Amino acid sequence: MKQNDDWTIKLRDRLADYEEPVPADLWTAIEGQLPVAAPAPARRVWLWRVAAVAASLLLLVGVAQLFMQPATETMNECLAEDAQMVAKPRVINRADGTDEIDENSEVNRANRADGIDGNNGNNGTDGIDGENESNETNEADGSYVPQENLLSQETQEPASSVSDSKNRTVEGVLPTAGTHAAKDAHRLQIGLLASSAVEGRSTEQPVLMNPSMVSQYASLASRRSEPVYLTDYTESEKHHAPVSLGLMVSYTLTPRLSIGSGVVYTQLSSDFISTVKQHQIVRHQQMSYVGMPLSLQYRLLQYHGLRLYGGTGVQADLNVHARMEQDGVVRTVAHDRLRLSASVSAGVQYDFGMFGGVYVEPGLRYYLDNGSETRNAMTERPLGFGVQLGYRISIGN
Amino acid sequence: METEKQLLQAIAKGDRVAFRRLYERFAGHAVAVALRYMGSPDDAQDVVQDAFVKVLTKVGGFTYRGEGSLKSWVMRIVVNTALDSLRDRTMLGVQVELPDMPEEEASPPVDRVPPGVLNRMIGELPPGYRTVLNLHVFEGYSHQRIGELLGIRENTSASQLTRAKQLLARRISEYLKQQTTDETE
Repeated sequence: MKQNDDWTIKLRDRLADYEEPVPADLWTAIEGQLPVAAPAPARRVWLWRVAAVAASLLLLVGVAQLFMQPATETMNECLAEDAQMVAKPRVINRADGTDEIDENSEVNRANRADGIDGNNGNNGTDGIDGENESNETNEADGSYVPQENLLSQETQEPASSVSDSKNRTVEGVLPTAGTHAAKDAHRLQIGLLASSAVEGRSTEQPVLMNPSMVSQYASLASRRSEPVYLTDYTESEKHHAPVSLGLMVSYTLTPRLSIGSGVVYTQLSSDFISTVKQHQIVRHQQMSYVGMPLSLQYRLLQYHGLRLYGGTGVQADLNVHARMEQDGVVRTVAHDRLRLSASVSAGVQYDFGMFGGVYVEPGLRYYLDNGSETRNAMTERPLGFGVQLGYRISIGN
Repeated sequence: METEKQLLQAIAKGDRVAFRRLYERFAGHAVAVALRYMGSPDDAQDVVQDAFVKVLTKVGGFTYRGEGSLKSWVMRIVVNTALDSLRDRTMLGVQVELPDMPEEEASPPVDRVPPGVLNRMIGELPPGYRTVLNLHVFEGYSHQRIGELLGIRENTSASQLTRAKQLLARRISEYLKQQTTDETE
């Protein structure tokens, strides 16, 4: 170290434990500003996350209840009417206690006019496909399809199970609350979601001495051209995985394809840790984004209430809040620029109610570099794997 | 003497008297540190008051890392509160008009100057100079970190430090000359 620097070390040591007289009334002023309650315990990030997920699930269930209560009653009334309309001409209670399909019912007679037999050539495996495809078949033949027939088509099985259908009971043929056939008639879905990346990012690195300072230290004069690292000084960063909550609305474009958008709130936190000798200085950064996603989903498979789908989308996130806290002192920091990202995902949804279902959707998201100097999980781990959980509610026809 | 760990344990149990003990333990040094940053005793008192309110409301979340870690934490809060106060008064930044400075004194004899005088001398340096000097010499910050903290370039931090040391060295010399003159009279 350069000789002239020795005196600043002496200066530091000389004032290391120096104390000034304390004003007499200082404690009274401090005590007057203290809250009455005891100091709060340390906040845990994981606790916050669990609370956020729990709160979002409670919110999801609450909203679902709100939507489902009146709608369920209405749908049950519709189903009851459908049951009367469809079941009466088609099912005969035999004296021996078994049921069979009435071969002479109006519905089946109308279908026979098309030469397709009682199942209307509806080979779709789900309600949506079946409805559209069977209508097209009938119209192409130029035959008249009564309204009752359309209703019954939605409920019938593929042609390959004609013989089986004779032994079906009413409950086995009619739509019941919770079957996907009834739900697929809904075109609009509202969903609430909570998501988090699986992992954040941690880095630790030594700190280079400013090259202009190297020349001031005689012992380093010979190493001017080489990088000189500061001893007893390291910097590390921990970027915690982002946590998001959102509201999505999706619209069914085709039986399998839907488009969605909404609003997503994302919170990111990072710790910047400087270690100077044995002391750690931690700066905690919190940034909040409000994003608008645009997504496409394609249903791949459906088995009863379980559906498998793939999705892709883009999202624009606007940084609405940014702050840095160090040792209790909070200051605002420069906001990030608009950040764009693209994602691909695969999801599984289980419909357990008439108007919705829960889903889990793992996926990959890539954040594009926007040229800002912001450092958080979006910038330090631009490609991240995350899991989204949510609840979707179907509304309207 | 009560260790920092014992003091923190008493605070964790809700002992309000322990708050007072924490204050009495660190207030003197906190005032000295604040005076080095602020220059004025009134401003230093305001900073210490704000800092201790933060300390005492957040001490429940403090993680003990060995004896001395509590003092370091308290002093960091004092320093950060002082920097915030200086920032609010727009007293930080580059000294645009750099005064003509003599060549740097070779190792001024700081051990011949009472600590209180040294502390006051640092507090009387121009705000930009004394802030960089305090952060570099007493907090051990690199110029890169100082640059980030104050919103200035690393080279500016380095040059301000050089100027601050030159100015302080000259004032120490002047003080010692004055002392010699007083003694001979």
